[in-house]
Amino acid sequence: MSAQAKFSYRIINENVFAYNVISENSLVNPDNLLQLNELEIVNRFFPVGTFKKNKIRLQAEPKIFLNPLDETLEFAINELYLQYGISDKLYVTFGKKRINWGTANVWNPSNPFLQKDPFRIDNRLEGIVLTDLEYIGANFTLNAIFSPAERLNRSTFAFKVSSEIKSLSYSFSYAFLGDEKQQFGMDFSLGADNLTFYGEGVFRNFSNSRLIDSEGLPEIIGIQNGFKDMNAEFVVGTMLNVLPRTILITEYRYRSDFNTSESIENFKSFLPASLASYDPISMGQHSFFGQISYMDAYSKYNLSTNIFYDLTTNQLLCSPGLVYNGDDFKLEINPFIYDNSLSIYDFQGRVIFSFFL
Amino acid sequence: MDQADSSGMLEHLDKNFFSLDMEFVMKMEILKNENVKRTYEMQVVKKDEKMRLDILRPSIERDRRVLNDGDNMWMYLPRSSKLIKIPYKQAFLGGDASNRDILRISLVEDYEVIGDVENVDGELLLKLKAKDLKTAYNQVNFYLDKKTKYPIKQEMLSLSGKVIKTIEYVEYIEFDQGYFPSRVTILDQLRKDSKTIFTYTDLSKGTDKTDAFFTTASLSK
Repeated sequence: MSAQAKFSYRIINENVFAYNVISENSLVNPDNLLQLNELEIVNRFFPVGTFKKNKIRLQAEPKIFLNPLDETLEFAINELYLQYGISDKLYVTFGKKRINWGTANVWNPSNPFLQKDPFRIDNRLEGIVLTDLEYIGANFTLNAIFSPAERLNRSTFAFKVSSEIKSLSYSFSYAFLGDEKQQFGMDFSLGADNLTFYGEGVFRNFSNSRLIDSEGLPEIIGIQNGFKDMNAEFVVGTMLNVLPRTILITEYRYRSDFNTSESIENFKSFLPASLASYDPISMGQHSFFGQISYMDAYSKYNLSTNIFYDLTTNQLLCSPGLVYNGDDFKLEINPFIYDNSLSIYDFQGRVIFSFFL
Repeated sequence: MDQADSSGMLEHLDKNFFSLDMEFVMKMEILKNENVKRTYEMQVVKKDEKMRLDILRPSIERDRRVLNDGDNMWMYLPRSSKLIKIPYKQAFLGGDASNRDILRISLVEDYEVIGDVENVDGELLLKLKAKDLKTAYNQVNFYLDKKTKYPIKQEMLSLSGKVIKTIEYVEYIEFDQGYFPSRVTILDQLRKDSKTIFTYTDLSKGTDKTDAFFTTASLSK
């Protein structure tokens, strides 16, 4: 049976205005060493096109933006992929595509391909080049992904099997990330009437941390061969429906190979040489995120307060936010208030105006 | 009428209105003081104990998808390619209906009849009680047309017995050798100035969608 060809498109335009109050007492950026600007303006276009016919789906999402540094027009591809349904249970995808593994909202350790921007979860991230084979069974879903690199032993192979038992959904994953780097992951999500409890975690035989040793040099953490020597990272969280339109989200992240209270002192002592290890939100082993949000009865206004806190490094960031959703536009207003000597800014104000056509 | 009749009436309602396999386009208008504040349009497919909604309009929400897979309710957010599990009692897209109201598949699964069918002002009153606390409302009163047995009005009651929502079946259209509600209004009795109107069009009985269509994995396809 031949289906009619269907083409749909949408044009998304994002205009980002940021106002920065650069901290005068920052250890990371003394005397504005990084030469940061008080004002930043970024314009981005995402013309998204989707073509569907029979079992074929072709999707393209270019990104066209004005480079704020030299004001030149830049072009990138966020997504460009072809998906073919071999049957209604078996799909194969070729091209560049976003992969979203994991159940957590802010941090996604079990996703070996992409990490969200914690400042803006709704962001349009750049996909990865891959071949994805997906089998959707009656009781489980299986993904096998190959993401090529210039050499086969540097390419990524990843597998995930997902299933559900009543209100518990879960998955197990394995990824070979090239150069002998391996990651074993799992995630779960347990739903109830007013509460969702979720979590995800990984064991890695490598480290993503860039700790500074007592000599001021980046610590080299080699590939671990034994299971007990692996590095662990996990996130647990809850999404609680406090009232029908009020949601409380809390997340805790643990990373075994990140800064302790001792090693963060090495980082501070050797600044600015150690700047490459900097993370504006959280550099320690224990990170917390909390959000309470309220949406009005017409899904137009969304008021929220977001808090990030790192127990080890004492980094604190508070970001109240207001989002207004029109039928074809969205206005996001977010102040960011920092409170730590590691912060680059004392305050940031960001306004994003997006059109959806 | 006796208890057997009232149980039969519940099964009749369930079979002909709630658990029917079908496809349709649903328009949802959220009003305040009779002014439309928000309009959504979505393609709905129901099959067995599963239901999927694909939002068509407004532009800002296009391609957002909601799934009841029989055990859980999920929402797929296309901008971030993220899938989130949504609670039953959360307001559906901010309106007067809960997720459970919209994505309910079966009345029989959630409720059981209490007592006999009563005659009230020329209408039949069928009283239902929730089987467990997971259900959004403790009690539901159905007012049915005496002749056709079609629902006219539905009252949802809290544990204390207070009416918290009212559903009015305003219009019917011919469908599958009978009639099906084409316009339904939900009134939140706690917010008197607010109501949500549902309009159903392009109704077709049955669906050729396979079970795979109702899986979380297929939401991004």
